[in-house]
Amino acid sequence: MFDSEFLKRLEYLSLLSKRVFRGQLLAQRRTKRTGGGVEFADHREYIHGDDLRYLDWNVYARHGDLLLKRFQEEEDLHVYLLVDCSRSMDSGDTDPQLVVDKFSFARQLAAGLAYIALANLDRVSVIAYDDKIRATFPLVRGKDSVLSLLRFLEGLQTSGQATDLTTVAGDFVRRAPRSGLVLVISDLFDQQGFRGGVDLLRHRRFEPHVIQIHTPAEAKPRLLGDVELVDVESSESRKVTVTEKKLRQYEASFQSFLRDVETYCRTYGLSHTRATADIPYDDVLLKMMRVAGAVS
Amino acid sequence: MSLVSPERLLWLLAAIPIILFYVLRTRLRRQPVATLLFWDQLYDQKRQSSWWQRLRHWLSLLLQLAFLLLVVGALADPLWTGQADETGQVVIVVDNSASMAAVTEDGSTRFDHAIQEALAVVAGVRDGDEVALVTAGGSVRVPAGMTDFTPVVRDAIGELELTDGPTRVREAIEAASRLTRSPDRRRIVVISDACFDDAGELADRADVDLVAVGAARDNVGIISLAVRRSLVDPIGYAALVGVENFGDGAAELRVTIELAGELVDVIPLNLSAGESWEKVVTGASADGGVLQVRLDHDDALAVDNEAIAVLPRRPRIPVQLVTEAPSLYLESALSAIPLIDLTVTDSPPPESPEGGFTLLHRVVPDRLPDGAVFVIDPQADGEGWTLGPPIEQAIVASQDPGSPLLPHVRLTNVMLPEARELRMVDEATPLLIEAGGGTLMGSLVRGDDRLVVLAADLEGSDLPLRIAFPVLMTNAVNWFLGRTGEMQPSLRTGESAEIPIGVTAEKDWAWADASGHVAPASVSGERAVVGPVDRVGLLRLGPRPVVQAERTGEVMRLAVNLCDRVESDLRPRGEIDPEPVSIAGVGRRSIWFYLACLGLGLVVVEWFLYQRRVVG
Repeated sequence: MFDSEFLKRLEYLSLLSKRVFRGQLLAQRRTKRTGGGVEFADHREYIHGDDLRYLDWNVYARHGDLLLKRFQEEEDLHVYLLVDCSRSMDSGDTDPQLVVDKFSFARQLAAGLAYIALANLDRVSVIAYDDKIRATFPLVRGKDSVLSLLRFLEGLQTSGQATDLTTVAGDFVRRAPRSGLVLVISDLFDQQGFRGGVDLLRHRRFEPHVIQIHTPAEAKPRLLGDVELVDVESSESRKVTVTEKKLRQYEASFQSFLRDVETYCRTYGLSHTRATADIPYDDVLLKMMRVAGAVS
Repeated sequence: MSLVSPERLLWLLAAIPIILFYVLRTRLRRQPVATLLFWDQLYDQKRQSSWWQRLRHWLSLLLQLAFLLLVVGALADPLWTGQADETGQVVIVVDNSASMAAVTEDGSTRFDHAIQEALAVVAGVRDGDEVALVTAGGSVRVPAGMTDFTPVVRDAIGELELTDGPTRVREAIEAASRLTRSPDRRRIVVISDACFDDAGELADRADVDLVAVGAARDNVGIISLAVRRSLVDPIGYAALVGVENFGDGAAELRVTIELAGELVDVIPLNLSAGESWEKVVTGASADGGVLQVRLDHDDALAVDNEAIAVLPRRPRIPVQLVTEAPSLYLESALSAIPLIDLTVTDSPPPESPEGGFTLLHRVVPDRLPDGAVFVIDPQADGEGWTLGPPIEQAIVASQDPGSPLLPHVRLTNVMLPEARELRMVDEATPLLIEAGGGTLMGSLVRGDDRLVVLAADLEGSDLPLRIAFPVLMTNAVNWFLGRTGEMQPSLRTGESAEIPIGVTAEKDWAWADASGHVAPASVSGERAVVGPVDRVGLLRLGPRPVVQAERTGEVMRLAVNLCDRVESDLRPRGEIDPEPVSIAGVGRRSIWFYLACLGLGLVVVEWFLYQRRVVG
């Protein structure tokens, strides 16, 4: 899956990202933590026990106020890639329009984003989950770790009987050494709802970025007549008669779901990217970079 | 419980393919999907419990088998406990008499309701039962004989028509009894408005079920119409009209009488409950026509609001007066009688004019003219009489009170000077007897010839000056022409009548009622038997080709009226049990009907459980 052509493509994307973001993304971006840096951030009231070395004597001399100088602390950005490997990511869709299946598409996106981060000297970790964390690629830094990361991604398999991002997020925030950027790559077909997990990340000062992927067949299924629908995760089945009217209702329901995700992310200021698996992954990455550049 | 058609249980073998289909059911195409979240929103189905998932397939099979069992059970036609295995015989008696035309509260007629009831009875008859249909209006008829093929009876019920005749329920029940072989298996269902005298008694009979249709309604009807010619006025007539209020409240109405389209009289009436009214209406018309009496009153029954009578045209009467000297008295008396065409001559004709007579005054020919002859003051003996010696002071001592020549004529103690005694043949009838016992006036009938002889000198007596004289002449005219005061008879619906037709019919005669229905008339001598007639209105009687061609000419016209108190009274008699008739035993239905309904219910349940949920 990750051949030499793929690596060349990643390198191209990496170079392109540096030009597009002009030092405003990943490692060249400062964290919001204040601490022992050299760049002044702001003042705060002095309280008993503070280090007197950071007291702003000039202000004290002029105004008689005891104010403490605060400095912005520079540190490496931690990038966490939460990759959904539940069975819904491998729905067995045999649509000939698809370049790759949905799970491979997700892994390609993860690989691309990880490569860009590593190329920018950020720390990257990959977490594969379904209803719990199935596999973890630890935090690494530098392009030397690219090959091992790609092997990790290539070795992932879909598994599990359900998807539970809330449980996974709870487990993740306990394990993560530091907060950082969290890229959730999933179809968001979460029986318990994806909002709980994303909310938890937000509350723990992570910066979630939702990358929602689905296949064209999931948006517009081509079923008619009597069929037995089988959920690939839970193995539950429904014997139904699908009519044209029901198909139209399904499409409306699916579009409503997509709009809900967009509204949720916009409400909380989260980045959101939606992609279908019938387009190349690098187009999706370029689109993300353009959007980020435009925003910046 | 026994079965009427146990051989139909073979249909239970259909269970084998049903079971096979269930065992070898086709599997649905399995389609893996990433999630069922969106599909579940569409079909909105509750998560089925596992036990239901396991049982639903077999429950479906059970429902199918139960449905098959019910259908086959219905086909086998089981009998209720106590029902005889042998088939029953049901005779439906539908009352289609005139009162069934009464309009009910819902705007339809009682007859419409009766038809619905009859169809319901036929629908309740189980397989194998025999049904017959009898009508009881006007005359008893059997539109459908005993048959176990109910569609024939249903068709016959659909073709039933109302009549204007009286109710003949009792006769219909007798006919129905004759149609059935065994009294034990017999059920007679009478569907009527119970507006006849013995309705309550009939309802108590064990083998008769009386289904009463229609509630009591107020009605005013014509109960009689009789018309006759005046006895003193040759062109006069008198009509007796009778009207009765059969309602529970007062009724205000008008009676309109018309003759040949011309208004004769309008009489306003205000009748209290149960009150009847009668009146003789007189008039004069030589042309005659149809006398129509109509009640201007909006009530439940229309057929008794109109009655008619036929007033025949009076032809002119040729009279030949044979006298040697003018007789002022005779000419004046005869000229005063309407319709008389008087001819005065001195030579006696060989025969009297047709439809008239010859008056011989003081003239006696060797041979009397054929036909009707009136001889006054004969001077010689003639055929049928000899003259005695003159009686100087003849006084009429007695007269024949029953003679049609002497009604309204009183000649007792009248002096007839110079009258002569008549000695007539034995078959002659003496009319005036003088004090000495001699006959002064007599009549004789010989075949078609009629003879009246008055042996009195008119100029020598005061007879011509008396009022009795023109009356005597008028009576003579009527007697010669065979007239009485009676008119052509009016018929009542449902009755037969002998009608004098005046000629000896050699042809095939027939009659046609107001609706155009043509029936043969039995002719005997100069009389024809007509009826029973089912329709009010004008009836035409004559040779069959003429009647069928609806031509006039030889056709006689007769009036047919209802004039029946029983039919006009729209209030049921007696206590009628309002409970519905049970043919099959319970609830008017056989077991097969309930089995079929249960089967239908199972189909609905199966659809609700297995089909409705998944079809979008």
